[in-house]
Amino acid sequence: MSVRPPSSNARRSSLAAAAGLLATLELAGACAGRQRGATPENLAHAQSAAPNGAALFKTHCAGCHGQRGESVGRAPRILGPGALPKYPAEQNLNADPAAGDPELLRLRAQTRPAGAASRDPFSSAQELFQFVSKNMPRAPEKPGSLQPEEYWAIINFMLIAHGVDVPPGGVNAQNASSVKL
Amino acid sequence: MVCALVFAVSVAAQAQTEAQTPTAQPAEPPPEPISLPGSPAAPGLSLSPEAPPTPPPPGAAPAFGTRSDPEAWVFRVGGRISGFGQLGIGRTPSYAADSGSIFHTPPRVLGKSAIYAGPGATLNFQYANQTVTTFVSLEASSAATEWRGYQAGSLGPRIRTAYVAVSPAPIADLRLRIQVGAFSVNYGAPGPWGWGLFGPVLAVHGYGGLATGNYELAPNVPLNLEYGLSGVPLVDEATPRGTYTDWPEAGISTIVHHAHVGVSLENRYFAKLHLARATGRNERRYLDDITATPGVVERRPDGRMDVAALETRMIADPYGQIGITPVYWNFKDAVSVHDGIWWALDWTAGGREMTNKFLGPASGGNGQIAAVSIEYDFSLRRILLAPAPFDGNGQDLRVALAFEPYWTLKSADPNYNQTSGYFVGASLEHVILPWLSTTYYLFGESRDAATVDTAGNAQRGRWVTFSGTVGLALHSSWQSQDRIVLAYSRYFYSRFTDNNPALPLDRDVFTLGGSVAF
Repeated sequence: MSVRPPSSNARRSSLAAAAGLLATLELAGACAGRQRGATPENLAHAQSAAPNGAALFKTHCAGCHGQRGESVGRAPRILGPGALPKYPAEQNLNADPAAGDPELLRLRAQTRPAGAASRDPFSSAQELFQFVSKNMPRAPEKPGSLQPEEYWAIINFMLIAHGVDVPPGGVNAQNASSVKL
Repeated sequence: MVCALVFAVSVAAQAQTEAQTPTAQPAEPPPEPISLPGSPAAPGLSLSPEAPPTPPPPGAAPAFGTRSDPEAWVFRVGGRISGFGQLGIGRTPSYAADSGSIFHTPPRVLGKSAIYAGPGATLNFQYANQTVTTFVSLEASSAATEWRGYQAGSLGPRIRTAYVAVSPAPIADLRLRIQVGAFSVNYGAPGPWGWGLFGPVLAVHGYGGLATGNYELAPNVPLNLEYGLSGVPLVDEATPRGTYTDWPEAGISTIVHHAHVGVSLENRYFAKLHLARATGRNERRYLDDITATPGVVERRPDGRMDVAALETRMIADPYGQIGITPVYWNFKDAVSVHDGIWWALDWTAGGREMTNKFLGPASGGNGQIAAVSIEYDFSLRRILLAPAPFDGNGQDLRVALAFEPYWTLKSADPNYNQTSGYFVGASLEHVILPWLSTTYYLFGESRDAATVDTAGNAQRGRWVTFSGTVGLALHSSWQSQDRIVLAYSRYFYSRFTDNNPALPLDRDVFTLGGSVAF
């Protein structure tokens, strides 16, 4: 039995359908006025107000989260509307290689309080700093491997680019709890 | 309750002490005496923590601390090692001429074992970049009921999970993920971490694929769509694979379709609908001539098992998380359905096990079951400290409560038709010191059941087993992923459950074991 190869018309139709789907999705996002990542104004302001943080962000964060925090891979969006939500997005446990090992999951559960989400809520800059300084940057770098002042510089850049009002002189360990997200 | 009271008093006393102590500026952590200059990371067992994790380009040697390409492939090794032993103190069987204590290992008990993980290990290898993940898990385990399968664990290690997953860059607000290979996926677990006390109400395993789409309807309102197709292949009777006696489904291919749609709001409220159908194709010829009409080919029919579950969960921080999942199963000749649906009610696997336990052996796998899985998990310390955050780094009382009633709505076995049962469980862990916890577990199961006496008459009764466990757990820190457990369990049975004087069940069980993740 011979298999007839798809005609060029059929291939064109498939490509057109795929392109149409992508265009529809883009259009839907555009119609919804969806901003992915930091706005150009906030980003420019952050780059001028926190140049050191901008450079560190580019080196350690942008590879996964994007230059504007819009996400370029599996990493979450971290700047702009909808980013840095109070509660973390649900983790897809089925995408976790350990999903098939209940005992391994039980051991992992010991790292968090029972019933708590995968991280503490983001209410202030202090909580954001605590999370970032403990868990970032991810592989191939090592979490917690930056100096505290480097983490504060990144937090400053992120908050300004996110549109948060930051005190004069920037966010630091003394005022971070009063800076609300 | 007493435990909770003692814990609350100790936390209050601690808070008072802290309040009376003059606020001290947090001291700078002392430098690691043997870490590399400028590095806050402690040296590990192998390479320096600052060593580049990826090889340099030819002819170049990157300095320590050089940031590598985030697109680079990274190789990771992880897993778990467990060593557990259990001893049951038995009773003298009625036929025994001698008297005295009898010890069983593993113990002869019925009902859920609170902490026994079995001796064994998993070794996980992952090689991935931002787009592609490849994964394989090597498992080895000694004899334990949950590991009976294609091969007895004692015969050697096996690979049950191996897959390749592709997660392309997001297209607008759409994220896609495609996974192919051999793996299991789990749905409808009301617990926030892992699979809860009684497991997910739907788990699928086999060879196949899974496509996941995640579209953000609005900021923090994601819509999740998923479809999977997997198969558990026909296994020829002549294939040497260890135990034969408890593998009645050999010779049946099972195909599972499953589809899921879910939406969440503000990452706090979750609702997901899970649908699955497992179809078993019976190709066993050797059963044809064992019926009342010898010589006539009477193939058993093909079977199917349908599942529908509505998973709902809510994060009520700081008061924990509650999950409620109603689920419905429909069975049609399900004794012919292999374990493509890997877990159902209380980790029960496949149509055959569900039939024997909940529909009745005489049903032929025909009937309907409904259940509601409920679990509530909370941390007492997190509640007491609110609104201040608590991430688990300190004293705590970790609590999980679960209840799972179920009803056999319809069964072709009259002894099981319109019967009911339930599972109940509680897990309390009082984390006292960075290295010490006390643990308390209560598990129970009660259901209508039937058996056949020596005269061949059906005897109906209530199958009941309860167990209470107290224990000590040693761990290396508040939040470490390791523990050594010493525990004592007391089992209680109804007369219907412990009904064979020739094989009395154990009542007292001692457990010593440990697990570590790496």
